[in-house]
Amino acid sequence: MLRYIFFRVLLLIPTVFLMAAVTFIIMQLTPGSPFALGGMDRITPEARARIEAKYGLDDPKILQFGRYLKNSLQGDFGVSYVWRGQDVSSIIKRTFPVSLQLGFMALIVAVTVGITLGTLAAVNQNGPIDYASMTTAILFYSMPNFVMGFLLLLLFAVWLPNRGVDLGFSVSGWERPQDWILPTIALAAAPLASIARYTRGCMIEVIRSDYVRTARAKGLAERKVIVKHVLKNALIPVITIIGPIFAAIGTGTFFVEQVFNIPGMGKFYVQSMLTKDQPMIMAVVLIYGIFLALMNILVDVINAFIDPRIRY
Amino acid sequence: MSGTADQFDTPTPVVLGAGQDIDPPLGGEVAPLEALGASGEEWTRPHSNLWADAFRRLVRNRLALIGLVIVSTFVLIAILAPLLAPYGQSEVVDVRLTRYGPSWSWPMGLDKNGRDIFSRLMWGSRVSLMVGLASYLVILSIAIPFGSIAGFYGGFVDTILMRVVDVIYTIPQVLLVMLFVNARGPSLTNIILGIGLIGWTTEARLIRAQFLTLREQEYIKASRVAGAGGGHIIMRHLLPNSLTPIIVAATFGIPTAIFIEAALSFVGVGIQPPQASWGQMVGAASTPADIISTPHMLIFPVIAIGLVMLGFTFLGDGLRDALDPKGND
Repeated sequence: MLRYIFFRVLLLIPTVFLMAAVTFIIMQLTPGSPFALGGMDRITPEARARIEAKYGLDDPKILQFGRYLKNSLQGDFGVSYVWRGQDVSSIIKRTFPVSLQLGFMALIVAVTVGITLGTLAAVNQNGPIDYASMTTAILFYSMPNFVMGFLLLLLFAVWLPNRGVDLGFSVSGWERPQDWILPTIALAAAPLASIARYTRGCMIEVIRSDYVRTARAKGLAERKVIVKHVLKNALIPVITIIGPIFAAIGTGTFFVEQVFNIPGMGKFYVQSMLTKDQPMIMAVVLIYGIFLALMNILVDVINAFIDPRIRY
Repeated sequence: MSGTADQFDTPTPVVLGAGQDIDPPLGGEVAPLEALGASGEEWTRPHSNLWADAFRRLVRNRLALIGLVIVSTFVLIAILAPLLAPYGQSEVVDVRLTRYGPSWSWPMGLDKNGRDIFSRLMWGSRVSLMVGLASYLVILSIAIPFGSIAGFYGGFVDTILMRVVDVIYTIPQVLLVMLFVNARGPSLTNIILGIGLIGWTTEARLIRAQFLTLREQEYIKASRVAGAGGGHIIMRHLLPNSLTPIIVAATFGIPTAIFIEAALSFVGVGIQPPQASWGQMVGAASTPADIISTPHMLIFPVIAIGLVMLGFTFLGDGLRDALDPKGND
């Protein structure tokens, strides 16, 4: 097991390297330079050369990449081109926790509600509860998170208040805890639905298995059969989809933050895109990629830990 | 394996159904009637093949039928938009009536530039459809050779190719497409290229997995023994028999591409105004002030995106069930 974890972490190195290389190459191809912004294009060629020399922008590209890699590994992503006087790390330190909080709240909602819904559906297979939860699931599943976000906003922050039902939701903000509710639901909806659908499928498969028939035959209470025998085995495959779900929620924050005006990393990323703030863009992609890769390793390790059939 | 011999030497694509082996006794000319204890005349069930069967199963499924209707309507509107749309996509109806709410003349109201939202939605559907289809073509044109080679040759080649796929797969797709489009400039072509060049890994894996199982089948072995080369086996046997999973994957891949375009345009790095795109219409109407004062500018494009996504999901789910040889009848 330790060997497996070791190799997985080792594999992280080429992944991160490749990610950094791809981002670096794409950014080099991007037209627009730090000098194109805010009147910097009017400076004299001599001053420009001095600045380029200071920041190493006149070095060969391969050298720049090496330096970028070295600095990023030390947590130094350079200075933002747009947010004057702020270095990228401090912006990330401020915005990443916001995205992380939103993401984790959504993950918790998605996993708990999703598994509950899927279990209920499987236990009541082809009954009204099954149909109701699976119809809801398919609705949630197909809605892109920003569409879901706007639907929630329009319903709870515009339509209902206009009809005198004010539940205290506002169209933007992140300060008050009730501002967290709608974005969390918007972000959790689609992953929740996938988990529910998947849980249901796995549960039904297990319910049909021989050992469940045996458990019932020996007279175990239905509740005990479901919790002790079915759920325990059905959840193993469900854990494997938590990895992709993590990615979905992570990417989702980029759009949901835009919908609800949340000052997280995703909103900054989009702004950096529009303003071609290269150090910001590269830092966000890299940090986010590493974070995702780590989470995937974590999920795989948990999976290997839980499922005795998996041997490495 | 009633389809084996048939698969082997008949050149027409009709063989697809027989090769699939979903319904061997009904497969037509090769059905062993004596084995069923029936003479030819007593055979009453109409001649059918995989696609006809699948279609029948599809339309019997209520949700799938709804999905089919939504998706066909969407496609029709996209194709016929120049004939159907009352106004041009950047045509200003009346500069004095900006943000005008829904009315009899303009059922979805006017936007902040005084353009007809109903017409712009119709024009925008063309962008969505175009992105969905074209980027899926790009995806297939990369994934098919890539997955085929990995799955057919296996071994070392497979390991190397799949490592590449694994690494690309770990990079967050939407962010990378955003990066790509931002670098090359926001245009329809670049969005399509970006989605295609980055999003092909799922399909490549799918084709590879399909090939890995198929190449162990008897009719492939028979073909090999008969002296068929790799290219022939891939083109004539493996690819046609991988068509069903590819079609099912397309009903999920196409809406994903449509979603990515909408998401990109929504945050402002996709299709640029005055060209109409659903995502961009959403983005243009989504400041907190706009949401409160003129929700009509937001709700219609939001519903349009949601509806098309829902349609594809219904259709995709239905198709998967209809084409899945297991779990039917």
